[in-house]
Amino acid sequence: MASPGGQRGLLITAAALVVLSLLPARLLALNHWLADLVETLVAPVSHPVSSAARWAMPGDPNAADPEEIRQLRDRLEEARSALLRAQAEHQDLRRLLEEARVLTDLTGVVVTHLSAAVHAGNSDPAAPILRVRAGSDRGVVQGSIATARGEQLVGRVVSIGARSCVVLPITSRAGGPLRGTVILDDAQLSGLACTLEPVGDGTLRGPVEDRRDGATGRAILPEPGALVRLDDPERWPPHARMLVLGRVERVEPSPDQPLRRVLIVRPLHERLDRLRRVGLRIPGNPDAPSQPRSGAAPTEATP
Amino acid sequence: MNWLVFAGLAWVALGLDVGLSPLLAPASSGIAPSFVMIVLACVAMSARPMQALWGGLILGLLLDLTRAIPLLPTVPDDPPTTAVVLGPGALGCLLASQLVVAMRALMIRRNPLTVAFLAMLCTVASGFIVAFAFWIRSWIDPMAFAPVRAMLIAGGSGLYTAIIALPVSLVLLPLMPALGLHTQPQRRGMRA
Repeated sequence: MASPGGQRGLLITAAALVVLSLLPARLLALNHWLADLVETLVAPVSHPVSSAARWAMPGDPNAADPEEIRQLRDRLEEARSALLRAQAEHQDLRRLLEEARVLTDLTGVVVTHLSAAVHAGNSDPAAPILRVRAGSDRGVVQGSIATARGEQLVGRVVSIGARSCVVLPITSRAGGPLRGTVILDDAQLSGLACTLEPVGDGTLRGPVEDRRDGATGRAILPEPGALVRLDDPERWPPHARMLVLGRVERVEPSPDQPLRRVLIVRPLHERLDRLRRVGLRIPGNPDAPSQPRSGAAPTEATP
Repeated sequence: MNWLVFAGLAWVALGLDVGLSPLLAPASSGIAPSFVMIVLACVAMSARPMQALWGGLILGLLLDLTRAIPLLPTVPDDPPTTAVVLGPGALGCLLASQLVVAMRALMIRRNPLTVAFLAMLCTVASGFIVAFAFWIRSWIDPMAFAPVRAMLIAGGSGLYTAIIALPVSLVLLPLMPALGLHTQPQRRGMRA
């Protein structure tokens, strides 16, 4: 028989847990510290198992390609992103000048690149998260974003621990809508604007701008396979701009407005939750004294 | 029950849940096995009732601490955040342990099929409690949470856990004596 004291203790604990489970998130800051501790304790098991499984089941569809080809493909994508980013920034600068805005608004943002292993996640496709092995100890700050090889935007850092951080992927419904541009021509930026929302099955879906061809009057529709890039300066930091959201998988009539079209976009890496490593782009103040970050290299500056 | 061995088993199972389970999920389904639930079923099947319940509670608390829940921003353009909520998993595992304790007299404890069935039951029961708790929570903190979908995922995860439990129980059942537990029902008056 169980002792009455033990039963009472269990009942009190259960009642306390009911109360704890209903506390608002703003009162749960201590739990993040406890979660960090548990994560550190289980890392000796979870990290090698996760690394081995991610190696065996890669999320990168080009994982089988020779390393040289993958590097060339990555460099090509980086160059495209840099070109489009520069064009977007150029347009912004022109607009700012035209509006006679004060140029001091354009504070420089130095971006530090850091590569870090993904060592855990969760399996719910509607609300996936990635736990990345880089935290405040390696300089990760709020506003950092995660990318995968080939300039694929993975998500943004939403929680930072001492030795790890949590990345909320763009495919998580909690991430909210993303404004993007469907690239019609690599050489120019005049793509079709679209607003995409995570569906919960690993894709993004949303309406695309209704633009007509000046000569024929026919609607300009993006082709399946066209790249979609982030262009959402209000919700995303400047160093995330023009990163790849994915490729157009399908174009469908809008259920509400049959003459309008909606896009279904899938990230280049079909399973963002299975990535082995991510790149972190960490914003920093160029005037601040430089702090050593293990494995980090300042490589890019965006105005 | 030997709590040191229990801690070791919990550590390994939790590591597998964190590191391996999400990767075993079939494409975009969210259905994944739980190694912690297999350990929970094994312990609750043979431990004394209070030990089984406390063991379940501890395993549930650990599961809660590995689960970061993405929250929707309250202001539209704010960046999203996450929360670690203590309670839903612990209460779910407590209920799952109680279910196993109530049913174990009817089970053949040495049989891997029993472990598989009880692990499935634990996963489903715990998943339903967690889904219910987060459904209530979604009124307090906005989050992208669909309770019916979460319950379907719990059902699927239960089946998946049962399949994984068959080979895992072949390792766990021989470890029961090291845990200080016996797979044979104890006679009246004997201490487990």
